[in-house]
Amino acid sequence: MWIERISLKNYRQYEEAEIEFCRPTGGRNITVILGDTGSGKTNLVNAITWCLYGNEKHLTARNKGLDIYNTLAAKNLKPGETFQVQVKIHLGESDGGRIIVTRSLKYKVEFDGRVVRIPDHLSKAEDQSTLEMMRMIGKDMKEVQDPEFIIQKLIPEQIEEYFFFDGERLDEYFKEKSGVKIAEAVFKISQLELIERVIKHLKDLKQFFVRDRNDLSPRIEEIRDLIDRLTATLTDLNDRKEKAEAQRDEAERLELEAREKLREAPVQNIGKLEDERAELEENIEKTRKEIEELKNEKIQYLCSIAPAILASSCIQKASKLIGESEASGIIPPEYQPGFVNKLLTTGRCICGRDLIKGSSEYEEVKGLLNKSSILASLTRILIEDAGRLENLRQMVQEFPDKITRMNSRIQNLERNIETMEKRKLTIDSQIASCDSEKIRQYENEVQEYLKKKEKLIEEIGQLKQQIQATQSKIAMEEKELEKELKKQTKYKELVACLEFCQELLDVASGVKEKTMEDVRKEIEQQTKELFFGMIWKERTYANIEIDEHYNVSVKHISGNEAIGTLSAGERQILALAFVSALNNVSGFDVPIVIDTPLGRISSGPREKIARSLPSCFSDRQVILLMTNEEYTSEVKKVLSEHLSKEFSIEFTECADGSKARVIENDREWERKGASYS
Amino acid sequence: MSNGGSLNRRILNYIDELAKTEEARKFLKWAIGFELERVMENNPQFRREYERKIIELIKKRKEDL
Repeated sequence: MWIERISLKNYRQYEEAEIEFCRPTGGRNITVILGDTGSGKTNLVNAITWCLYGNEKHLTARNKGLDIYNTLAAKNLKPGETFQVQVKIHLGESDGGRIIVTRSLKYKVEFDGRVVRIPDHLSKAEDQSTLEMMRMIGKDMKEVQDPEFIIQKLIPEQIEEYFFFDGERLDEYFKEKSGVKIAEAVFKISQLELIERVIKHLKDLKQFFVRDRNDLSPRIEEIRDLIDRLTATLTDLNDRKEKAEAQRDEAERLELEAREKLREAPVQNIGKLEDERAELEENIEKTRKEIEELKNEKIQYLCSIAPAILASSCIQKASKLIGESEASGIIPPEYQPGFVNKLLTTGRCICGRDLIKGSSEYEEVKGLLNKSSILASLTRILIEDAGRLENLRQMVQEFPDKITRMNSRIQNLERNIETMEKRKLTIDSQIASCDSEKIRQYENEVQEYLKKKEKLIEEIGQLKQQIQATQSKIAMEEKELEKELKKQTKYKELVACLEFCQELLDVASGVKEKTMEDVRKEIEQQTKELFFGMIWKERTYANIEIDEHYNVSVKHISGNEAIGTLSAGERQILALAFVSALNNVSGFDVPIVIDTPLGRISSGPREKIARSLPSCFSDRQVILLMTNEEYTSEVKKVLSEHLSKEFSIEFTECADGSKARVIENDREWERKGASYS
Repeated sequence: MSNGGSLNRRILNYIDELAKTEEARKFLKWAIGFELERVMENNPQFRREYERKIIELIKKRKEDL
């Protein structure tokens, strides 16, 4: 690919300029554009990068603060008028195709004289400039819809610095050993970014697959684990149940055995007998105490009743007498002593007569008082005692029955004791007739096995419940697993994708490594060849190596490392060789534009470098932007056989701004060709 | 048309050499083309396209088996 023409309009110092280049053929691939420092050489490189990428990549510190438009163009405009900054590049393709790239930016003059940008809101560029592209399709030039995309394919922006560069800054590459920088350059130019992006995207995709797989069926393994654990628990529970059942059967067998032995023994239940015997003894003792108490009670009763029995005839008589006295009216008395005493005290009788002390009436009444007092006392005693006598009489009357009952009760209790004693003797004889120790042992065994059996039965019951619960849980989880497994098809597909992704990653990584290594070796070889083709100290350096970490090493013939001791010119040659090698290895067919390629080279070696420059970049178009100091007659002479065109920039600075014109020089070298060669 | 052809060819040759399966070979060559066509970094389309291609190739592999 080559640049056919560059047209500039109102771009920085170029109010109107057009440079027409020649197609690089027949070994004539060099175009020289001459200009003094500050005349606008670098801005021609900027015009190219701005046109292609919307970005001026090589702005000097001075230009950074200045507007992109030509100040003289705006100066003559009236308020409200607009103008356009435009750079147009015509590119020729090796297959005969043509591309025209145009970038423009509109400005408007405000009424206050300010110049403001009119942005293109559809623009993808930072400065919102408009990019247009026409491309030859068939025989016609047609507008391209996505010009950025086409440019990116032809001259990727990330590697433009290896095609359009400042010769004076080239040596910065090797000021210090910078493997990272070199690796970055190799990486960019060798298109390994492509494979790196494939790797990155595959890695990202792998993450997506992993996430999808986990999202899709994160529970399969979990459920399987759970079922495994539950199955293990079930097995354990069944084992424990079987063991417990065996133990229960054994306990039952032993219990029956012990029972059988007991059945065979003369006494089956010695413990019970002994308990009964102890109970009998206790009851006998209790009954005896009861008899004793009854006997004491009987004695006390007899003692209390004896006087009454002995005096029973007297009592009967006294009772009779009292009854008779009452019946006959002897008792109680006719006069109450209190009443008689009252009469005496008041001194008047109930008959109305006065009772004067010493009078017969008084004495008679007084006699009545004495008589009634004795009778009253006697009657009170008789009446009170009559009740007691009746009680005593009744007691005596009840005595035979009561004493009979007491005796009978004592006799009954004594009979009970006798019965109990007899049973005790029977038990004693039974116990004495057998081996009680043995029987007790059997009995203990029966009890022990019975308890054990009951405990085991309880344990088996619990185990059965647990088994049932575990079985239900397993069934539930199996249903869940079944559901999850239905998703398995998708899951398997994802697993296959993941495996394939890994396979692809492995291959892509291998491709990347091998390509990097190949490219490194080729660049090393080409850098070496180009460097030794250009360096004037032919016997100073022995070799150039680029190690696996992309550290560049220049070996002195003594074997020592010499990269740190290279002069600025030597470093520039090394960088030029390296960039040329990068260019050649990349396979990109892009024109080379070098600003001040020989700026730092002293006059002697310039000729040698100039001679090598055309071959450095094979037959590609090389545009050299040089000062007259660089473009010495020697340089001109060695370049003449490769020169296709030569231009000069005419720069004028005036009060309102500056302007530059590009004019084609006289083709002097063609005339002098014979004498040059 | 794209530039830098010789290096692309080198990458493609290495893919042929290192890929053990036809599917891997096909995918990686397709991916290089895809990345060349879509030069923008972090192309959001990549996942859908990559996934589609991978699934397509896996299905083909299954069918071939």
